Amino acid sequence: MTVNGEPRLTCATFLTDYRPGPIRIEPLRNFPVIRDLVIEIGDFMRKLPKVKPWLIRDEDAAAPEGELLQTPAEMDDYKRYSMCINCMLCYSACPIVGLEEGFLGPAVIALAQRYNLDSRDEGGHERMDVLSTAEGVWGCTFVGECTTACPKGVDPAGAIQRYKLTAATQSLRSFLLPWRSA
Amino acid sequence: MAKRRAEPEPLLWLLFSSGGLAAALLLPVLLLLFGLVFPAGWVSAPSQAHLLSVASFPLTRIVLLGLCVLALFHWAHRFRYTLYDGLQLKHLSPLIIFGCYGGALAGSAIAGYLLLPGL
Amino acid sequence: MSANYTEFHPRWHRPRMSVFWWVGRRSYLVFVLRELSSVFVAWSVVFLLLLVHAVSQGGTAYQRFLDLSSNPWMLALNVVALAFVVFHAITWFNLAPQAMVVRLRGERVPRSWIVGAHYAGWALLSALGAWLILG
Repeated sequence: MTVNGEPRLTCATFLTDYRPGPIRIEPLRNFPVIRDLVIEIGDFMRKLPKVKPWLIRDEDAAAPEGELLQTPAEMDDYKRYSMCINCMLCYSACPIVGLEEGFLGPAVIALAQRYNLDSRDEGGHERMDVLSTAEGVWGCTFVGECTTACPKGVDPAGAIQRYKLTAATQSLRSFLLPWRSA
Repeated sequence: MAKRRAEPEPLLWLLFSSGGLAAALLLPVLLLLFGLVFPAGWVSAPSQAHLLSVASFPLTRIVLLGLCVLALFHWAHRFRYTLYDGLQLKHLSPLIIFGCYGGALAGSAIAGYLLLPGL
Repeated sequence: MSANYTEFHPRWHRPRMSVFWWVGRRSYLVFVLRELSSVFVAWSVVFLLLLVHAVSQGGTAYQRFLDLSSNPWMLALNVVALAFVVFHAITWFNLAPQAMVVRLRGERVPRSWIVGAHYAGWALLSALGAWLILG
């Protein structure tokens, strides 16, 4: 919810911290309000699967023997972005979410990055079609409020900017060297 | 996987990004000297002859041209989104795109006209 | 799981975002000022091109440019422009580490190094520029 204008996890926000008050509690901003403090999160739920937030592997390749191994260093690459709890505080903080109906939003793109940067994943190019669009990363203007609001230190703003660089260099490469496959 | 029609956004963002870096690194000292220090008389301005000799190095001209072009496209991209989000003028998108990138192109052409001859 | 949520519901409260959404909150205001710095970046380019043109045209044209830049209004404009351009530089350098992950021999380079490298480059290029101009 929105506490004194800030998006906050009310389950982890204590009244004593706001003494002597007053304290103002509003529904989470940028979402339609059904009633009182209850918001409708269907928009977020529909955007989430668009980036295919699961491990994508080449289905034609032979099944791996045993588990897919990953070193601690490889896990560190994406660990931060896996910490998202889908609390949507970042959506409340992001002005673009409020302005642009179709904008995927910070959590969704950070989650896509969680899989893009996972060494076991092979689906980067599939996600690029969704991410490298105006509704994807290019709508973001790096306000940075999403990272400030995030209670889990996910840094979605960083994830998005990193993906802009990825998508842009990929685009440049395919333009300058079209014979090289993605 | 075949691409749909090529999106200009990645390229425009690269121009914005490099323009932002170039502007951040080079514009402050130039504006400080020619915009404040020399006009205010804190330090006497260099002679025209000296500046001309500095500007006649091909490298100086290339750097200045690169700076001007990139910084203009940095403005174009950033200002476009400021108008979209800050003033909610997205319905005027074609006009804004024409004004911003067209302006940057025009400025780049002028910069080229001023800096390329004699290179 | 299918999310068949009704998209448009007549009873839901959907406030329209104000055009001045960025005024009420300090972080939003700072953001918009940062974005507006691009206007002064563009002005700096214009001013720079005026200088280049004046220098290429000879002594009298250059003197006219110097007189123009000493005009109180022009001076005031350039002081404001300088403030915004410096603000652009500082915000750009401070945000750079969030946008790039640099690896040196497998280890991630600390944030402070990336910021420091930008400021160092800034200082170096500024010193070089000043040295070239002042002669």
